[in-house]
Amino acid sequence: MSASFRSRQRWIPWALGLALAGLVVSLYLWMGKRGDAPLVCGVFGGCVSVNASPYSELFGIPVASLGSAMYLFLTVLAAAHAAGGGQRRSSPYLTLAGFAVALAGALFSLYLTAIEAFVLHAYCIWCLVSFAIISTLAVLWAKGLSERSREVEQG
Amino acid sequence: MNGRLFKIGVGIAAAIAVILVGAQLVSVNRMTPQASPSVDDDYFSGLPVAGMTIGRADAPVLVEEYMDFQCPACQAAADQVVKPLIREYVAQGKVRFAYRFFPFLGPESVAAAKAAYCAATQDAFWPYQQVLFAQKGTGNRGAYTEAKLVEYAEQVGLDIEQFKACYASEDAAVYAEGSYQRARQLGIPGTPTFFVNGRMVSVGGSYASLEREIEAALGQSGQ
Repeated sequence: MSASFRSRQRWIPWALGLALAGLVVSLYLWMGKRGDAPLVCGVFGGCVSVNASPYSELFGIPVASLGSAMYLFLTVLAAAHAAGGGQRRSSPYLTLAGFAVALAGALFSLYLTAIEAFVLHAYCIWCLVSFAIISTLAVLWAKGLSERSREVEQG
Repeated sequence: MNGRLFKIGVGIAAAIAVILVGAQLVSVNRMTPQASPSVDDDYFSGLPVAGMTIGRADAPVLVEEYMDFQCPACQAAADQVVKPLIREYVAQGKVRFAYRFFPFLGPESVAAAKAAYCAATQDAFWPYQQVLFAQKGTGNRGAYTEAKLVEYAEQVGLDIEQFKACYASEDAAVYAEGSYQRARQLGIPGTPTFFVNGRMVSVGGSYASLEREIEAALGQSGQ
């Protein structure tokens, strides 16, 4: 395995770590929504309002539970990349799936942040942390997809 | 290949995001008609009322809700949490329920709190809060201006001159500011926040969670 190949794989541990962090944040918000954990909101002070608003659900399904499922998927995908010794042995379509899901999550998270700013007028610190995490993950998976595509092109 | 995979990824992501946003807008619109109580609903009539508190004074459990009239979650909770709470616990004499104000979402939140205080001075807080919540006003967009608040006072049959004098008084301003400061001191993380027998409980906007807390408190009181 060349040094340049190894250097190109550095995004995988970051993607794995961030997906795990996002999973923890989403599970915490989900527990708060269910009333199983008190939400600590910090200086923003609006996480209860946001997490109890009609925008925190999708046909009765908590958005935080969908977020947890997304982060779990990204965790498994990043772990599969890491276990496979990097992308070289994994299908480019797995990398494509990671990129598509992370970007979709970042776009939906952007919409939810706009709802906080313009409809609810209250901010949820944990939702903003999740927005930062999923946006970073989208960039990392884009990098991974770009490198994987280049490798496929070079055979 | 490089550009093609990337374009496919962006396309799939955009499609998923559009579906999620669309589904959520439909979901929120479906919830909205139930989100605030009908002003014709008399779920509180016949129950002992003292200002913003409803229920028997000797009820074993006191439930308090810190709320802001402009908070959508509080508007939903008025229908989905407070109404069943009053029907199932307050009417049975097991719970006394009190609204507390945390007007933190801007000038119209403060105005609504002042007006609700003035309605309480005429023993009309309960019908008045129902009208306020029914407006579903958010974002200081004119649902709770002074003129509108006077209009709502007329709707519930308040003495308008007395209401206006109260609204302009220092008492109302001090009450709203005092409520805000008290909520800050208590470390209220947002609205709605519920307390059961003086203990802050984490229930989100879920009636089932609040019910669990009430049952536990009733158990402790031997009821």
